[in-house]
Amino acid sequence: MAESSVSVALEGISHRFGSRSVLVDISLIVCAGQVGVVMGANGSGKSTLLKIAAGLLRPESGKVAFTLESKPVEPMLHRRCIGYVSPDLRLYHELTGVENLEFFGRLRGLRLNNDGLRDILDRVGLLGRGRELVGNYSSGMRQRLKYAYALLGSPPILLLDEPTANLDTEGVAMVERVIAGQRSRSGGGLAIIATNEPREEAWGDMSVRLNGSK
Amino acid sequence: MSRSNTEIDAAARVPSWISEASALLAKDIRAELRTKTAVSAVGVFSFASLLLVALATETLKEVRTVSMLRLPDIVTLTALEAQMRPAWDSPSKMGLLWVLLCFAAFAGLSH
Repeated sequence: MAESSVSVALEGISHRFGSRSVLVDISLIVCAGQVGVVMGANGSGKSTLLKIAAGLLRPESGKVAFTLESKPVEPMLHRRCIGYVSPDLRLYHELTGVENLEFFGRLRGLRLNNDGLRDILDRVGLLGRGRELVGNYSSGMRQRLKYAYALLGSPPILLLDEPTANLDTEGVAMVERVIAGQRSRSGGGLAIIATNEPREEAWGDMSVRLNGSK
Repeated sequence: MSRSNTEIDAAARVPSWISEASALLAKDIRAELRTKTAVSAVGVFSFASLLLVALATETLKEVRTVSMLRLPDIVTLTALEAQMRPAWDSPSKMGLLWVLLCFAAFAGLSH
């Protein structure tokens, strides 16, 4: 598989909330095997940029383009290419971890068997805790479950907003493994991280620093 | 390239809306059976609504009404009596029932 088999290109992205410009002409290209980092102070638009990349928000101007196996991906299929971890992501507290994953898996067209679920829970350090209600999870366990959700289907593009929020040392190591796995993903993989942590900036091959509003 | 059983082909067929809707339905039923949040919210609303309607319409049973549109140009007492009907009749009850169902659905939907 070619090195550039998957890529994300954010071209001239601008966005405003009301009269306040949050993003002005932001561009970023991340290719297979790379990790892009979006840095900036609170309110500078990091999460907004990731939401735009994920297709959850339409930019005022600019374009988001994905390529997969060196071919452009239809915007309608963008969401099927991404795994998304974000503080905004809501899990269903009245369901167990496994039920949450099964539900999201079905929405992605996946039929998960026990081995697949065990494998993915093991990867995020939740093996043996999957049958507990998410409402009883700690915030760190919920963050780990978000990773399990993001990794469903082994998507080629990972978008990680505050990737180590609420995680302990082992959790941070898990994130590092996920990112390393994404770099070496069979068929090509990449990640874009939005963070304030200098330690996480070091994980990236390139970074964009947002300077906030105008 | 071998694919694990959790691996997705991004270009694969998108699940049909029936599949997505059934997943949503199954999730909602499971969550509702576990928490009974919506049922309790709708139950309280239904009980309160029935009670309020019963109290508010108590006096309407004795009231009779007439549609002015159906009256002839020259209104006689006979014509007036012919057009009179109970204020709390079937169409009124049906209208109120739909309003209550609509609000009950919204009460449940928010959960």
